[in-house]
Amino acid sequence: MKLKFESKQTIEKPVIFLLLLVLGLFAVLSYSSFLYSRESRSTSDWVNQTHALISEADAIVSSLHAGEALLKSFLITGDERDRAGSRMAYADAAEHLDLARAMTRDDPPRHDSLAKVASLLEKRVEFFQKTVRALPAGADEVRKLMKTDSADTDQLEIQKVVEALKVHEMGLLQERDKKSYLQAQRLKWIIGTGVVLQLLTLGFMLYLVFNELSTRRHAAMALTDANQKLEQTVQERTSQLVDANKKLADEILEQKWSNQALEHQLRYNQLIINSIGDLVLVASRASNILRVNTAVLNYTGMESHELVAGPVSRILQIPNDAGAADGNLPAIAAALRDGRDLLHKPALLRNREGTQSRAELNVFPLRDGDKVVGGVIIIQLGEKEAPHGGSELTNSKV
Amino acid sequence: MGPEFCGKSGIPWIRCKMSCRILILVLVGFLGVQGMAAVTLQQLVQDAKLTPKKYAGYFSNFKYRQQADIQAWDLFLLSKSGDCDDYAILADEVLKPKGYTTRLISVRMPGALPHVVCYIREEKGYLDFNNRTYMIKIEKCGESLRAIAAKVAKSFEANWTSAVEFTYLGDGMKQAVATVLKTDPPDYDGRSPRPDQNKINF
Repeated sequence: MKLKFESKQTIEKPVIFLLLLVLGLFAVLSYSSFLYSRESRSTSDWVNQTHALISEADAIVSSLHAGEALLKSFLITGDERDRAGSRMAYADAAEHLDLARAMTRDDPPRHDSLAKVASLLEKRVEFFQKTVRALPAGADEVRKLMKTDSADTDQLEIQKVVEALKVHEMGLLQERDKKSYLQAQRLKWIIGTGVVLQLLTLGFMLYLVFNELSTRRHAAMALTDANQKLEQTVQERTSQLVDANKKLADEILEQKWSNQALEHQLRYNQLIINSIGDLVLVASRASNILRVNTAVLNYTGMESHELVAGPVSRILQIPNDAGAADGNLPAIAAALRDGRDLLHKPALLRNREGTQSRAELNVFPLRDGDKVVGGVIIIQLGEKEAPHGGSELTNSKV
Repeated sequence: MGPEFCGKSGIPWIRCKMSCRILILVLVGFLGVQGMAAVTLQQLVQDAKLTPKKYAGYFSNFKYRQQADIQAWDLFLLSKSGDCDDYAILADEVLKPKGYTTRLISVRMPGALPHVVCYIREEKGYLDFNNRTYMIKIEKCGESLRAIAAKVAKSFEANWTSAVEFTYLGDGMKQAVATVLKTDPPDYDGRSPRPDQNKINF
């Protein structure tokens, strides 16, 4: 889980960052395209209008020429259709001029030059009006007027203005075309760079994602392997534990049986000890009674708890025991201290009533390892003595 | 360029689906029978119930013929052929006395001849020579010059450069009333003092 969490944390930030980058690039590209589209529409309208202006300018000249020709034809032939045609041609020229002036509304130099054309056109119309009015006066009058006509100069002037206008507009078109071309190139670069960057970013993002997936797959596989190994180890350990438990149970059973056997043996031993006629005492190194057999209780007439923890000298005396004082039995103490047996030592045994009996004692030290921890005193009864110095022989009962 | 339509091409016909074309052919046949006899200027002028739609119906079987000048009405009606300005200017001529507020609009598109339509305020649309043979004979649109020009250009699937509103003075003479360029600000209505073409009266 920790591995997964860390992995998630690791990939989240770069992926989010890359996504934002892609979005940012997309926004930049969209905005650039929008700007270009708007600019392109505007350019298209401007180019169309510029071409229309050139076309209108050309139409001014051609209509003017047509009007001039038709009027001259009318003056020669007197055909009213020529006169009407001329009038319409001039009307057309005026219409084209009007439109051209509207189109140069925001370009004062060109607008002013077209105003000059308008005045020249007006001048031409006035001349023709004058000429037409002179028709009834005869051909000579008309001819005289025609001689004063400045048609060539006026037409040349109009043509010059129109040509200058066309050259100017063509220059603008060229400039605009260059600008448009550069803009298109720039947009191409922007879009190309943006697309490449986006592809790179997306590619890197895909790499991260696939890398992450691969890492996760490996981690999952490693986890599965580890789980399998762990499971195997657990199975092995469980098997070992089962075996150990079985062994332990066997051992416990064996121990139990052993303890039971020991207990039986102890009981038998106690029974044996209790069943023998000799008095048996177990004493500590300090010559205090630790245990007694039944023969001791029978002889002394005391209970076990009265004797246990009391000194051996309470019921036993060793005659002529040098250094015996305060209930100590130096011979026994020495034997126990030295760890040697004390055999066939004459002693006097005393019961509750103070009756003493002659006895013979044997002391066998008890060892725990090398250390003497106490001793077993075995007393064989002889003749019984009176409580205060008299003697009698008696046998102890077991 | 379709021979039956004024302007660049017969767009409405081309754009129609087969089922639409069959319906159009039936309608054309019906209207063709109805308009077999050539209508005269007198009939149009004297028809008190003349509406823009009815007017368009009279011209359903007219053929397109490009003319440099505006034809005389009788010639136009008798020959049953003409172009957009003949149709629009005649509409202006006969519908105005019937109480309709008409306006003549000439729309210029790149690479095409100027296209003239007659806008009728009451109908909120214009009469177009390219749209005479269908059920809907009036193209609905806004009344600004810009809106009309945009609608006309759209019917040609083209851009427009300028639109001129004019009045017809007779004998092929026109008087411009307003001019709007596509590049003008949207709120510009194109109305400004115009040179008086009445001066061209030699």
